[in-house]
Amino acid sequence: MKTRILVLAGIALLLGAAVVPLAAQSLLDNEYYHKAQDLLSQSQQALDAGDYDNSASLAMQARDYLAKSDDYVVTMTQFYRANGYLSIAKDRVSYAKSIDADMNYKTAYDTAVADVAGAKTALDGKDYPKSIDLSKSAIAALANIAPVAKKPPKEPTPQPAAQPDLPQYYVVRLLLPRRDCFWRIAEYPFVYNNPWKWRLLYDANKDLLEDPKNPNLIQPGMRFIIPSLGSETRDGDYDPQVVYPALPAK
Amino acid sequence: MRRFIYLGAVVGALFLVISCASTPTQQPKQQTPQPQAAQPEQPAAAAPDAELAQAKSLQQRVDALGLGTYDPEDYAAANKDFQAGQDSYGKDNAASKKSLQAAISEYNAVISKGGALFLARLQEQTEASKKAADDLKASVAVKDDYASANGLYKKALQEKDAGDIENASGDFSQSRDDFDAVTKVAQQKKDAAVQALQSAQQDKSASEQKAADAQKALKDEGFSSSGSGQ
Repeated sequence: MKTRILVLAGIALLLGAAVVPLAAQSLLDNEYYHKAQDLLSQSQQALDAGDYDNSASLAMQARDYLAKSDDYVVTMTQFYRANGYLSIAKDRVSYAKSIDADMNYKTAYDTAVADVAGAKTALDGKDYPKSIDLSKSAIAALANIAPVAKKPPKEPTPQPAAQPDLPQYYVVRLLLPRRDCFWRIAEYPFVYNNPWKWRLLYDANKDLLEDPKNPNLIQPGMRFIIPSLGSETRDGDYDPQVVYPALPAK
Repeated sequence: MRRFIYLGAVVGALFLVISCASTPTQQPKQQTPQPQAAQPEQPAAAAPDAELAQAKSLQQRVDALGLGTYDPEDYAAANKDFQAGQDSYGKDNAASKKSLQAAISEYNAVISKGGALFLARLQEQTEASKKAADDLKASVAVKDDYASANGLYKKALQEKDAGDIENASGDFSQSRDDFDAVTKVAQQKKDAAVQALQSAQQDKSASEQKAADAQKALKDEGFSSSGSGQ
């Protein structure tokens, strides 16, 4: 038993030690940084051997490669950001398609589709700022879409404030391939119908997270409170079997 | 009375015999007496010119190398005898020669004892300079100049073993100075290399920080460096 605990503690320590270097590993995992590391190692060896001229020369070369690595990091950061926004925009378009927004919000949908295509082209052309702008434009174009009921209500739709049946809690689910995250939970019509309000959810529930500073790591089964936006009332847990009214997307 | 006459005759005869025995066979010419200088009573010793020159040469050699400080007793005695030899030169050449010969012997003693100490000291200085160069790995950093200094040092060792004080001392001194110069250059090169390496290490840390900051910024925006969004 003791041995098992010790082994587990050792593994935990190793994992903990690996977290920090892994954090920036992907951006530093580039040929320029690796080359700079090699050159620095060679420079140190030359210094130890008394080959000072060569040591200085190798160190200078290492600096050049580090500058190239910096450029690479900047470029890749833009790429990942552009890629991320494009991914969100594509998800949004897919969602829009799934709720027939191509028919019910045709202009917005067509704009978004065109923007996504443009963002993809810009991304392939390594024009990352333009790609980001177009992806944001696509997301914004579809920000206010919501499922449209097939049968329009005979009576005027009650105001959200008057509806007591919106859920106050949501239990995180594992819905492959669309996995829950704050962004997507906020996007549910019965939550906020607006993914950009994800931070409200995050701020209200961060204490439940293993790492309160990391909104990206949530686990299935976590029960999140859904703070009211002020105009709606909420009560009880979300029930997938119940059809909730959608909040107006804002 | 007769007896006194007889005794007087005998004394007179004896006086005559003695006088005749001390009389030179050839009477000197009394008419032209020779000057006294031309007829010394004893023959004059030759001037010790060779000894004087040798002592002078040895003294100059000792002084040029500064060997007197390494054997002060013999050096003082040599100088004293040399001075005495010079003082008596031409007046009492025998005494002068004797003093000069003593001085020569003493100067040689100074060269023998002092020279060894002098070269040992120079060798020690040179080896200290060589060690400083070796500690800085100057044989790699300043390869050609180090090899030149080391070659001179080895030559000096051979000259020392051969008793060639002048050349050994000159080569020891020169190689010592060369090693010092090589050390200075090697130190400058090392300083430059250390500085360059430190700057590169600082750049590396800065690059890592930039990457970490970029990674955090992506994470804060909900993106990851694997390219996926939230």
